[in-house]
This record gives sequence, C-alpha cells and structure tokens, in this order.
Amino acid sequence: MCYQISGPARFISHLDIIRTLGRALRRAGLSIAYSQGFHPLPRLSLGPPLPLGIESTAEYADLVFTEAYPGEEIKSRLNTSLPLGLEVTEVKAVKEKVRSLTSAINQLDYEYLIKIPISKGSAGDEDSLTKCLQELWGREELLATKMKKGVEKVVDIRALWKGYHLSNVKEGLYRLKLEVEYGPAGTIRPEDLLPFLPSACTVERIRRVGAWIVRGDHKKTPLGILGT
Amino acid sequence: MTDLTTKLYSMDELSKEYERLIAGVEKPGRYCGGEFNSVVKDWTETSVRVVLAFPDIYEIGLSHQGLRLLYHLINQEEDYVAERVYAPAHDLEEKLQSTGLPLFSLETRRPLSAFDLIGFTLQYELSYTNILNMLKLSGIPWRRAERGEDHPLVIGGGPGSFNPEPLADFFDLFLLGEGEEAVLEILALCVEAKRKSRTKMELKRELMKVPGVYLPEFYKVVYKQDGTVESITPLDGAPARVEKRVIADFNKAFIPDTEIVPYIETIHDRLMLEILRGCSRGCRFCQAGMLYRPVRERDEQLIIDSIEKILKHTGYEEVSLTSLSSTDHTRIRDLIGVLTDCYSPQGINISLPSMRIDAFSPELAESFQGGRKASLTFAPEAGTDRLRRVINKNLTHAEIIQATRAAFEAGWQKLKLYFMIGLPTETDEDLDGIVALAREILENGQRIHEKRRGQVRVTVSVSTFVPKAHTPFQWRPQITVEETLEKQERLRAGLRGRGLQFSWHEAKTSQLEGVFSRGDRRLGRVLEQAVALGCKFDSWDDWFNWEQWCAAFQGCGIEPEFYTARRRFYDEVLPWSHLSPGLDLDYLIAEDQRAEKAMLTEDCRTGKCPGCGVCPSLKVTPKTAGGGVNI
Ligand code: SF4
Repeated sequence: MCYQISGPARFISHLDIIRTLGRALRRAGLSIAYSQGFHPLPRLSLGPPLPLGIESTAEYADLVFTEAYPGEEIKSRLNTSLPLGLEVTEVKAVKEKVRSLTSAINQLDYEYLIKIPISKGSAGDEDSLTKCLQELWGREELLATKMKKGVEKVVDIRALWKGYHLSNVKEGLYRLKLEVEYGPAGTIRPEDLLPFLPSACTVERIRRVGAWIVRGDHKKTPLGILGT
Repeated sequence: MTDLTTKLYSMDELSKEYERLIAGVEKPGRYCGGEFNSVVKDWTETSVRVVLAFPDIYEIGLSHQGLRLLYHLINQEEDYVAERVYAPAHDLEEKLQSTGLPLFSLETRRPLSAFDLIGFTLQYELSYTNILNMLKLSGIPWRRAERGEDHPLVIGGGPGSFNPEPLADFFDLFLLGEGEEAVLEILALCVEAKRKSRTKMELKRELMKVPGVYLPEFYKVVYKQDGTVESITPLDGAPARVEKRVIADFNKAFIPDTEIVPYIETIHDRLMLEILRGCSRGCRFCQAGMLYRPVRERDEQLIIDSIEKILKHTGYEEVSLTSLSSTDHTRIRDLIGVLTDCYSPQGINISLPSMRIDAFSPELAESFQGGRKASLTFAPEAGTDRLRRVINKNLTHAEIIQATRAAFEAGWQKLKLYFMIGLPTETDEDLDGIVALAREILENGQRIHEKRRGQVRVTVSVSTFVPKAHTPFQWRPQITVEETLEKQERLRAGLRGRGLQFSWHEAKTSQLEGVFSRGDRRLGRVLEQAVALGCKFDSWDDWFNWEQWCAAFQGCGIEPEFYTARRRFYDEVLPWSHLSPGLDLDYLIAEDQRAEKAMLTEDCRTGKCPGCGVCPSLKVTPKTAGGGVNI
C-alpha cells in the first residue's frame, strides 16, 4: 500500500505511525492478521522511516489481512478512518509473500522547495544555487556531520548521492529533486544537504516524493514491482 | 508582560507563524492538533467558546479523563465550542516570548483571550505556577480585578476547587464536585448573558445561583493577628456554604462515545472507562475518597456497551477500567471475564489502574499485563498493622505476605511496595516495620525463586504524607523537611542490600504541596512572586526550584511552616470552611480521634453507615451494580 503524510501527521514518529495505522485499521473494521504470542501485534510493516517534520507522497506499508479484501475497499475504508494528514493513495492486494520494504527499497527521492531572494541586478544569487549544486556534484567527497546515538560522526555522503534535478517554479523559487541511496551502506537524510546550500537560500519545504526498487536498469515503485 | 496588542495578526498569518514555531520545537506533536476525533467547529455558528486548559504538558493533560469528558460533553452541544490547551514546554515558551505571540488553542490556534471561558483543571497544587504562566503567555492579567469585560472568565474545577483559596484572586469561579450537569448550566447562563448583553458582574450574580459554583470575590476573609482565619463572610447574597455537585444517578451520567486519539504517545494512551465513582473505604489520608462520596457503580451492561462504542471510534488496543478502586466494583470479576473473552482475540488488553492487595489474584494480574510478568505494585501504605489502622486501611501483615507470596509463586520476580512516611502517630517502629516487611517479602521471593534468587527485586517507594483539606487529618501537622530527610535516611540505611531498592520523593516538593493544599488567600502573592522568579513545572524534579520559592515566601513575609507544621484546632475557621463536599465536621473530628486510638471504621457498602454526612446532606445514596460487596 502507498500512502501520503502531510500536515500535522508529519510530526508523528515512525513508531507512532505504526500505532496510528493499527488503530485506523481497527476503526475501519478491517481484519488485520496478528503476530503470534501473548502480546499480539498487527502484522504491518513500513518502509524506510521518514524524518520527523517532513511530508511525503511516497510512503509504503505491507499489511497482512486474514480476509481477502479488494484493494479499492481497503483504500476507501482506511481513508475514512485515518487522521488528518494521512491518506492512502494506492493499494495492491497480492497473495504471495513479498520481500520486506526496508530491504527492497534502495532509492529515495526528496524534493526541496527553495526560495532565493532576488535583489535587483544581481542574478548572481539565482545562479549561485545552480553553480553550487554543480560544484557539489563534481566533488569526490562530501563530508556531513551526523548524530549517531548521541555522538557526532562525520561521514562521506557523496557515494550515496545518485542524482539531482533543479527546476525553476517561478521567480525566486526553485524545486530541487534529490535522489539518494537507501540501504546497508546508509542513506542521506534530507537535512544533511542543508549546510552545503548557499546561505541566501531558504528551504521552504522538504518532501519525500519517491521510494524505488532499482535493479540494474529497471526502476520500479514497491507497488509497481508486484505482479511483474 | 508581553504586549500582544502591538502586534496584530490576521488569523491566517497567525496560523503560519504558529506553524513555523511548532516545527522548530522538540515534540511538535504536542501542539499541532488535528488528532483523530478532535473537534474543530466554525465559530460563527456557535455562541459560547470554552478553552479547556491543563496546566501541564500534553502527554499528561490529554490523558486526563475529566477534561476528555468535558471536551465531548461541551462539543456535543451545537451552540458551544470546546478547544484545548496544555502548558507549553520550555522550548515553545521561549519561542512564544521571543516572538511575542500568545499561547494558542490546539484546534483553531486562537489565542486564549479570544475565548469566553478558560477552564483550568486543578489536579495538583504543584501545577498552580503553570496556570499563572499560561495566563501570562496569553497576555491575560493574572488578577481578576485587573481583567476587564472583554477578558474571558477564568474557571477552575477538579479536586483543587475544594480549597482553591491560594488561587482566589486569580479565578472568577470554581466549580465544586462533578461537572457533567453543572458545566452545561454554567454555559447556558453564559449564552443568555451574551444574548442580553449582560455585564460580567450581572452574569456572576446569575452564576451564584447555580449549586456548586463558588465565586471567591463574594466572600470576605478576615485574618486574626496570629495569621489564622477570623471569619469568612459571604457578600451580596452569596451562599454561606457552597456545596459540591454530585450526580445522583451515575448510570445516567454522560459517557462520551468517542475519545481523542493522539498522534504521539501519552501517559495513558488507552481507552479509560470510569466504572464507578467515589470510594467509601474511608482511608483517613485520602482526599479523593472523602471528596467523591458516595460510591456509585455503573451497571455492567452499560460499561460493556460503552466500551464497544468507544473502541469502534478509537481503535484503541487497551481498555482501562478506571475509578479510585476498581476491584471494589461488585461485578468486577464477571466484567473482566466478559471483556477479556470478547477482546483478547482481537489483541485488545483489559487493565485496571491499580489493584488492592486483598483483591489480588495472579490470574487477574496476569491478564492485565498481557501475559508478561513485568513488575507488580502493591500499596501497604504503612509499615505496621497499627499504623494501617490509624489511617483506616483495613489490611493486615498476613494479607500482605499472602498476596506477595502468591505473586512470586505465579512467577513475578519484581515487586514494588508503596508507602507513606510522616503519617500521624508514626514512630521509628513503623519505619522499621517498612524495612522488616520489605525484607520478609524479599526473603519469601528468594525462597520461591530458589534458582534465580538474584533476579528477585523488591522496590520500596515512599512518598511524604501531605495532610489535605476535608479529610480527618486536615488538622494534623505535616512533617518538616528535616524530619522527612531523617526518616528517609533511616529507611535508606535499613534497605541496603542485594535485591532491595529504595526510592523517595523530594522532601521540599512535598512541603510546597503541603503549603498550597491547606493554604489561604495570602498565598496568591507568593504564587505571583514565584512565577515572576521563574518557577514553573514544580512537580518536575528538574524544574523545581526551592531557593526561588523561599525567596518568594520571604518577599511576602510568609512562613511556609505556618501552613504545614502547625497543629490546627478543631474549632479553628479553616480557609476552606465555606466549601463543602457534604461531609459533617463531627464525622471528620470523630475519625481523627479514632485514628489516634488506631480504631478502624467500617466501609458503608456493608450497609452500616458511619455517618459521614454526604448522603443526607446531598440527598443521594450509595449504589452498587448488584453483586456481593467485597470488603
Ligand atoms: S452518609 Fe453513610 S452511606 Fe452515605 S457515603 Fe457517608 S458513610 Fe456512606
């Protein structure tokens, strides 16, 4: 299933999303399967965790039901039970077991909405973003400071950066799409890039807009890969 | 105080500003609103707007059952709006101050000053500084006298309204007792006042006629030279005694069919259904037991049906059957049986907030913990049988040993024992009794878990007894900080050793609680000074600042010991004498004297009424759901 996160729901942590979905499923009266054991948990697993405060149009979840519902029914019933900011966009019902989302997904796309104040006669500001990205892309090493279990760690994120695309929305407003790797080697968190951007830029919004399973030349969404 | 009028924002701009503030704080989920089942109304279609305020952080506030209930009760009426606000944590407070933006409601992000009423719940004395702080962050003057016609009415409810005197200068009115009926009566008068363009004063005169409503400005308090109260005189036709509200038929009382389901985890993140109200066991230290009499049980079927409805609307995975003492419900076993059979296959757990030692059964406890054997808590309250009789806790050493042994035998390895220190008549012998009891229980546990002796753990948790208004111990002195520390030290020394753990309450926090729980109106100034000095979140150890409090007391020329360490006289006019939960003074005195002689008093559910006075004075009767009374 694919769902979106927006508005207040972007402040829900990964664990809280699981609980929230579990409760929405109960409210919808959909019979989700439970894990074995004395403290049964609904069988629902999510894709790569979304950083707090970031919206997304490309979140994925695997759910196991005890009844065979058509995908459309799951979508409509769940959508009436979800809180503000969570919305299911597509459901595909399959019979077979699937690979876990976190191990299958290996690319994530983020979209930044960037504002650059335009002062008259200095088109340089606008150019600076383009140039800056070109320069960053050309580097062999990009050192970002990450917090790992409370300790600061410097890591090279260049190898995890797969590509980017910059487009102009309107005067002074740019859309930057960033493609990053996700997997055992790590990933780039959207905020990792911020210190590298020109200081004149203000990032208005960051959204996750894609999660992909890339195999060689083939690139498919977790739903797209089903049934192929 | 920040001047909010200099910055005028449109609703839209405000909303954006807030959005930015919220995104930059530690747990934005506390302030973003929009939770499932929260109610957002169009203000233009309503006539009275209330903001329900909880003077502590979201995770605690949202868990509060009383406010949850009032929220839905009010919103159920088309003409009324109820929104919510909680105390902002430090980071948001700083941002509000630096931007000059006022504190806002969760639903429509309106400043509190835009509402007609602000309803604070007074759950514990140590939240009083947060109340003033929240008003300050809203740009609303603390003192009632400084507020004008356009400011909201500031209302208080909850146990604190039975002695709200330290807050008397800040609030317009307090509601005593149960709110399900009275709140709607108050709101109806507010609608009428708006329609007839009544002044605040005219409205207050109308409100005065609502039973349970206490308007502090209509009472003149005169003090004696020694600081005690000389007289409390009602003015302008105010009733000499305000009697609490009580719901006579608890089966007919409002039960919301839904609950707000938070995005982030709160302290009680589950369905809570109140299965009975009141407690008649008569523990002499317990204020809640005295304030919420008589006992009224809800019918089994009503409970079952309500749970079904609320679960459907919330999707909760746990149901807690709440009350002051849930195992007292006469149908509790059947109830738990039916609910467990119905819900455990769906992965929904049934639990009780606490379990009395004498009602302990390993099977029940196990089902509550979802089959896990986490730690179990028991509350012997005192270390010896004698002291337990003093507080009217009808529980013997043998019963405690039996229950704890049963717990170990059923597989538990970690037990927590809860006690109070500083109870009236307490001696070293009683403290040593705590140590001896804990050691005996530990040894039993180690014997039972022979092969895993090392894992057996007994934690002794002690709090300091704080005498409360309207209890038989309301005249008793509270132990001083020094005495508390000495007693804690004695326990700490006795509880050294493998398998034993000791935890305690900060002695100074209990002193402050003691001052305000039996305080008078002169403390209002101290509260103001303390807030000005930065005191807030006093119940949080990392925020509590005793030095600042001492400075505030000194600045006002008030000695905290006057309120805590003094033995009061039976014929003294207590600051809360004009406020009544329906108890007879003679009953409270008799109970205090029986305590001195370590004599037990019966629970009225046996049919023998010890005459607390509630039933005749409020024209109510205790009611059980029909099962056998379990004493
Ligand atoms: S008046 Fe008697 S029966 Fe009623 S609550 Fe008090 S003790 Fe119980």
